Parts: sequence; C-alpha cells; structure tokens
Amino acid sequence: MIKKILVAYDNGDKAKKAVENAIEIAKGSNGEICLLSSVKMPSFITTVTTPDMINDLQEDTRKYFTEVLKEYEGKIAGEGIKASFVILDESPGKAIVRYAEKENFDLIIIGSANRGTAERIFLGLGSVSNYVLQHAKCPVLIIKG
Amino acid sequence: MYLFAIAVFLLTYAVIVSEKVHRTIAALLGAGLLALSGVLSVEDAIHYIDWNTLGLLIGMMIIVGITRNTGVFEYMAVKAAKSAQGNPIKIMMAMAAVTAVTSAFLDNVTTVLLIVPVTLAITRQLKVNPVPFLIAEIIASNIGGTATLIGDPPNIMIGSSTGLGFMDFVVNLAPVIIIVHIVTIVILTLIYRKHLTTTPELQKSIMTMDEKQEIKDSHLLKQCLIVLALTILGFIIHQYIHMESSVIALSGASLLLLLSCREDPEQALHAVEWPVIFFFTGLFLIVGGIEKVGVIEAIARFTIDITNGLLVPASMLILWISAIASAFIDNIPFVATMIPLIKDMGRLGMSGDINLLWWALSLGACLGGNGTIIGASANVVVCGMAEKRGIPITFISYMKVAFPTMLVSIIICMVYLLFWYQYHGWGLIIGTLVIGAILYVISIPLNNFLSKNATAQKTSSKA
Repeated sequence: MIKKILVAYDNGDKAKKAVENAIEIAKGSNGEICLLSSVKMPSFITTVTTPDMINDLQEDTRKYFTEVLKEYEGKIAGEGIKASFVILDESPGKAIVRYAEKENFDLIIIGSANRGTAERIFLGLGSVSNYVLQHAKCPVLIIKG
Repeated sequence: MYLFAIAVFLLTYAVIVSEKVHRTIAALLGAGLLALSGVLSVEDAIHYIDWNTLGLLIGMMIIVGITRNTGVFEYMAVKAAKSAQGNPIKIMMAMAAVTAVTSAFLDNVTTVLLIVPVTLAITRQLKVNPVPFLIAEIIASNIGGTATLIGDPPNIMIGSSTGLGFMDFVVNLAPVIIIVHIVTIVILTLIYRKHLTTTPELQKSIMTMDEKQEIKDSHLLKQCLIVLALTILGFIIHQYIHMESSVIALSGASLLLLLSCREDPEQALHAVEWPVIFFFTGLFLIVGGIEKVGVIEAIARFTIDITNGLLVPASMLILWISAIASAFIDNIPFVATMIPLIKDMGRLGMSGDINLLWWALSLGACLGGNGTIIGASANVVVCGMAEKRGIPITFISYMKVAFPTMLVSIIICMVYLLFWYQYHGWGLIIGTLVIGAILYVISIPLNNFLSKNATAQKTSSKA
C-alpha cells in the first residue's frame, strides 16, 4: 500500500502537476504527502559568486519556498490529507534520494527534466529526475509534460 | 619555447571554455607550467601581472561587499516599481534603468544578485511572467557596465593597461551606451508586450509595497554613501591628478573598513572574490607567456597586413570578433589577450588614434556578452536564480531574443565608432547625447501606447 508519498517540488509546472497527482493517489490510499524542495544553488553560478552571496541567495530561496510550500500544505490538508514539507540545502537529486530512504517513503513523485541538451552542455545542468530514477530505493513516478 | 607557450595558452583556453575544471584552477595551472618550464622567470611574472587591475577589483569588491548589505539597491528597485505605478511595461523599463545605472558603478553580478529577488517579488505580486523582466535586467546590466571604467572587467583591464581614465570611458562610451540601452529596451518591450499584462487591482497592490522596509541598516548606509560618493569623485579626477584607479578604489575600501567595522574586518574582507583575483593573475601570466615568446607580436603584424595598417577596418574587425567571441566564451581571457595585441599593433605602426581600437574592444567584449545565456557572469547568475525558482530560462529561448538584440547594439556601436573616427571630440559627444534624447522622446509615446494596452488587454479578456 502506498502510504507515504514524497513530492519533489521545484516550483515548475510539472512539479505543480506532481502535487495534484500525489493528492489523487493519497486520497485513494488514505496516505500522507510530504513536499521536498532544495535551496542549493546550481553549481555553475558558484564560479562567479562569493560564498556570502550564495548564502544570501539560499536564505532568500528558503524564505520563498517556505511561503509557497506552506500554502500547498494548507491546500493538501484542506483535501483531508496529512501534509508536511521539508526544505534541504543539498543538491536536489541527492536530497530527494537520501530523504526518501531515511524517512521510508513508499513513492517519490517528480517532474521530468526541464532542460535540454544545450543546458546540459553549457551549464552542466543534469536531469534530477534521471538521477532519482537511477538511485532511489523505492518506486518513482515521473510526471511528463 | 615558442611552441610550448602556445600549447599552454591554447590548452588553458580550451579547459576554461570546456568548464570541466574551474577557470581559476585552469589559469593557475597554465601559469605554473610556464613558470616551471622557464618560459617566465619570477621577474617576468611580476612584470606581466597587472597589479592595478587586481587592486581596483579588490577595492571595489570590498566597497560593494559592504554596501550591498545596506539594502539601498533593493530600495531603489522598489521605488522604481512604484514610480511606474505598477504598470508592467513601465516597471520593466524602470527596473532595466536602475540595473543599468547600478551596474555602471558596481560589478554586474552584484547588481543582478540584488535586483533579481526584488523583481521576482514584484512579478509574483503582479502575476506576470518574470522572464521578460529578468532578460531585460541581464541585458541592462551588461549594457550599463560598459559605460564606465569600473563597470565591467574588460574596461578595468583596458583602462589599467592603457592609462585611459574613468572620464575617458564616460565621455567616449556613455553617450553611445545610452542609445544602445534605449533601443534595446524598446525592442524588448515590443517582443514581450503580450506577456506584460496585469489587472488594475494587482497594479494597485504594488503601490502598497514599502521601499523603506528594504533599508536594513541606515547608519551603515550613510557611511557607505559617503564613501561611494568620495570614491566616485576620486575616479572622476584620478586621471587629472595622475593617480592610478586602484589607489582610489583601495583608499575608498580602507576608509569604509575604518568607518564600518573598526574591530574585525574578517567578515567584510570575505567580499573579496579570491577565485576571481587568482583567475586574473593566472591569465596575465599565460598571456604574458605568449607575449614574451613573440606570438602576440606576430599576430599583430598579421592583423596590420590584412588591414593594411588602416585603423577603421582594424577597429571593425576587433568590434565584431570581440562581440561574437564574448557571446560564447568568457570575455575576460579574450580581453586579456587582445590588450597586448592592440598595444603591439599601435607600436608596429597602425596609423591614427589607436584609442578607436580600445573603444571597439570594450564595446564588443562587454556588449557581446549579452548574446547567449553563458556570455557573461551576470547572465549565468540570473539563469541560476531563476532556475531555482522553477522559472527555467533555456539556452535557446534566451538566445532567440538576446542574440539579435546584441547584433543591433553592435551595429549601433559600429556606426558610432565610424563617426568617432571622423569627428571625435565634444561635437560627437553632444551629438550622440542629442540623438539619445531624441530616441528617448520618440520612445515615450510608443511605450505609453504599449503600457496602456498592458492593462486594457487583460481587462477586456476578463470581461
């Protein structure tokens, strides 16, 4: 039975869909939903910024996600589903896999990659969903387009 | 020796471009190889490092690092949005103007780091797509940075090695930069006009934002503003009192350290980006290596041959090559290489006022960075910040808008440089400013028309 659902939330459109899907599944199984966001800045911007700036940015992002995720938490709870959220400062892929394992989640829901080949080559942005798919120890549901 | 220096240079460049290894490590490794192999002696190394550039960078990093904590730039951004009455198109223009002016005095990365969070807050409140705003800010930061000696690293390097002063940059570049900025922003509003719509109610919500809340430390702010004013005054007069720009920046930094953190400078000194400083140091040595063995001189001779020693073709060549190159690779190593090259071209008998080539290099290298999302540091940082908020700015979507806009800006510069060659002096400066003013006046009714549509469209679609 799928009881504990972890939704990887990055504020993108697919992540918003992922939340909707999670609600559907949780309703059916009487499960609970946890939203996870990472505030770690992509490594390509650290080459041109100081650690101080990165800290400021991450703090700022944390504030932002706390606001957004609280709103979602309320919305999900409004559907009668137990909801929580967590904000980590690890790189997104690792954060999701590690947290899912530590807290014994039954399912990870994540949006498919936002980026194409150009970004992979020029900005070193890998696909988080791909990483999670390869490394997670529990079922993974990938939301496409 | 000759081939070894070239090999080290090319290899280092390749590694920097590939970004497999951090650019600072790549540059230091290359420099290390040149020193170990004896291409450069310790004396050579000290000679080739441009200490004035390093001093100016460090001084400005300290001043900006302390000032950014005061919240003054966020204050300006909110104020700008409110003065635009919450109209999205006018906000975009106002934010772009604040970005351009700020980045003329601060480095571009700091400028966007401060302005982007405010932009995201405002666009969220207006429920408009933030991407047009972010792209306008990226482009404005690179344009604004071109206007002064301290605005962008290429200018710092050019000024430092040629003795061109702060006012030389302002007088020769700022007028054309004003034109480029106005034209670019008009193009962007035309491209994005459909995205920039909101409702009157949301517009009003912007007016409830309080810019005063952005000021975090008003005591520190006063100290910073005094030091900034003194430093800029110092820059304005430095070339007339024969003082290096680094002396001004470092004196300003020392004064601000004294005023703001008498006891412990540790935190304030964290603002110095050592990876950047070491990157410059390594680059100066690698370029010094190929300069010493005579490669730069050979290329200079070749360029003089193909341009027949004529200044105008050489300047056009430099403008376009630097623009296209800077769109794809880091403009800092490019400019570091071009500087000794242009110096040699001057020495080997380019006829006429060689400053034309310096302005071509500065305009090409700084504005070219707008071409792609990886063209300049500010672009990358904004892209990263947006990415984190789930607002992907893709490589292609950015380039489709920015690359043609960049080409337009280079064409404007090309025309300007041709005029500069013929008539440089006060006539040209005033003429350029007048054209800028005319363009601005023409753009007002156009923008008013567009911004009226901005609210009308949304209301009618709602009704």
